[in-house]
Amino acid sequence: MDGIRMFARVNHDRHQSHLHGGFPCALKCCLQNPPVVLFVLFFLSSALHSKENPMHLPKTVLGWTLSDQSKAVTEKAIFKYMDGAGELYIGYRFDHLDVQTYQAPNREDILVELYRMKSSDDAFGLLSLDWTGEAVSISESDIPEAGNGLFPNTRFLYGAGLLRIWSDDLYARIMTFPETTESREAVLQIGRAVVSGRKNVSAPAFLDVLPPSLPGGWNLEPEKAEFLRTYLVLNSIYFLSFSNILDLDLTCEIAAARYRFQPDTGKPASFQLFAIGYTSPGKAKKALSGFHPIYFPDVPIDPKTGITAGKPYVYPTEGKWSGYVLQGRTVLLCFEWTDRLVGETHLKAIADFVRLRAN
Amino acid sequence: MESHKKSFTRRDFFRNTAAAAVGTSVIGMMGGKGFSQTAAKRSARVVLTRDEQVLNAENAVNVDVLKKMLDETVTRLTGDKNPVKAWKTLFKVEDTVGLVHTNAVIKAHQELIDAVQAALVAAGIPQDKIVMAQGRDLEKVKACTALICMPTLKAHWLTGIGTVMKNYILFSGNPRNYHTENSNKLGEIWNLPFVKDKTKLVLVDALYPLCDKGPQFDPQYRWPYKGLVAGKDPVAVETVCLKIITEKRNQIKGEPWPLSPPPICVEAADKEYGLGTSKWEEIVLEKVGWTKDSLV
Repeated sequence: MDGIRMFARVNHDRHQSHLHGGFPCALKCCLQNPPVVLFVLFFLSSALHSKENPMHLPKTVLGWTLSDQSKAVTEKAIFKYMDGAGELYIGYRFDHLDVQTYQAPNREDILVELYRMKSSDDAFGLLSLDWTGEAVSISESDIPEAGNGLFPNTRFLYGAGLLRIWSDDLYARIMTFPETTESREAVLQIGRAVVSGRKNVSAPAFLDVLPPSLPGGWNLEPEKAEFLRTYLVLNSIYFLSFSNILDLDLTCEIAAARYRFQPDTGKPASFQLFAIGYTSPGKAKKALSGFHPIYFPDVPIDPKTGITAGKPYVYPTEGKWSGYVLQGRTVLLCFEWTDRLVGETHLKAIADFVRLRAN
Repeated sequence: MESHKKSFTRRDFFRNTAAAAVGTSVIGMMGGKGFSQTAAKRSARVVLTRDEQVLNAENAVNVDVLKKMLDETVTRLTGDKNPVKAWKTLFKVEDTVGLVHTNAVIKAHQELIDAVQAALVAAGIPQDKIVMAQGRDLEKVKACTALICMPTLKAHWLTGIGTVMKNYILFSGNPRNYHTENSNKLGEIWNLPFVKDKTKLVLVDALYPLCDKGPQFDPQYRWPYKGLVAGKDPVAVETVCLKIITEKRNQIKGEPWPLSPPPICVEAADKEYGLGTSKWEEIVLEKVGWTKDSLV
């Protein structure tokens, strides 16, 4: 209706006499003006269409037909929609979810879930939690994001009937189960429609804190880096604690990765790194000051000095070594070294890498 | 920062794993009092039945094969070679039997539900005394004199495993209170007055399980295990299910891939709530049928 009023205003001078004549006169005027009629019809169609079909998905795909029932799920309603699974999306900056379904006789439905996040980083993060699957190219105009070894050069991963997409601030799941050759093609076509016209955006800049290699022949495990923000999501990839002992919230950026050492002879080794970006050095220090006594209760920090920025802290933990270093607003936290000196060397190297990047 | 003075951490979990060999437990570390146990050694029987033919290439169920599996499971579990008599040792004809099956996302196969109903009817339970009892309608559960716990075998991204102990979560009235750290309290739901001691059979649908995250699943982590896992001891059954999931995960990655977060509900159900045994050495596992990739 706003469009009709707007258009009436534009034509005010021309049709003033008709408007003053009341709505019937205005209507008669509009109907006598074909462009006006076309505009009104187009606007009404778009308004109705976007409400039923928020992503303007194709009506039919290879025998599947888009259901006229769509659902918009807000943060408040997400648990009703998906129970505890909703916590995953709340663990990123979730805006809302659009849900639509494709149906076909004697075939499984295709479920289309479009997770609208508040930033591209959050949509990327959801994809990054699992890099397994087939990297598919579903759009001729797609420019795969260059992973630079941190993650695969793709925005689309497909496996066993599920297509997962990162497209700017959108994370999408398009799934049918069990899959068939036909359903796979249908899923990919729907994916193509979902991303059509959307812009390609770079991966979170914070991932640049991950050095590709470390002294002593240690290398970043290729194409497995993850981006996250909150402790529940962190626990799903590497359990630390059921409590939020690192003071994580949606303002944090976390880059997670494993580093591996493969000797020519002898046992391979690996360790886990979390680079946690807080909004300020003060917040980072405060978080560490709370974390240390919980995780390393047997080695209290000197209350006079507190945690010193740039200094690596490495401690024995159940047969291995864990530790951290504070570098500006970033906490570098590592687990599972087999050697203390290696841990200290790594922490210094990673801290230097982060410092140089910040400068 | 919220108070974390008694936070259960990764270190506590690994210390417990090492301590389990000498009989201590994580329950004390989490502030639980522990359930007092007698000195007598416990023993729980769990039956794992598998048949390669129960699912076809499209994962559709062969109902005849499934019925045979169910008969085999119940007869082995009860020791009675006649399936009808075997069911009669578990349920009385005057019982109102509630089937508590997974009815969301990774649902229990309808064919299995139908087969259980048919078996109960054959054992003399009238059809109108068989109730679909899963859900928030507690009056249904209260009306039941016996329950069959029928979850699907699946992992869960907040509790590690979301199979047996988690199956009654809706009976709590507030399921969100039983995730993450509070998943160790899932056992208390089994001790609610209208639930306690009613579960006569735990029958896990392991035909097409999920070994990672859940409830929102990635089909890459489902596989045709083609099994039923059954017992009277819910914790023992859960322990076997946990091993199946864990071994499958390790197989997928080619290296240890532990559930994260760890499934603390299993030991807690044993040590805190006395619902059964989580100790592998106390479980008598009988494996029936197809043995390829049994993982246990």
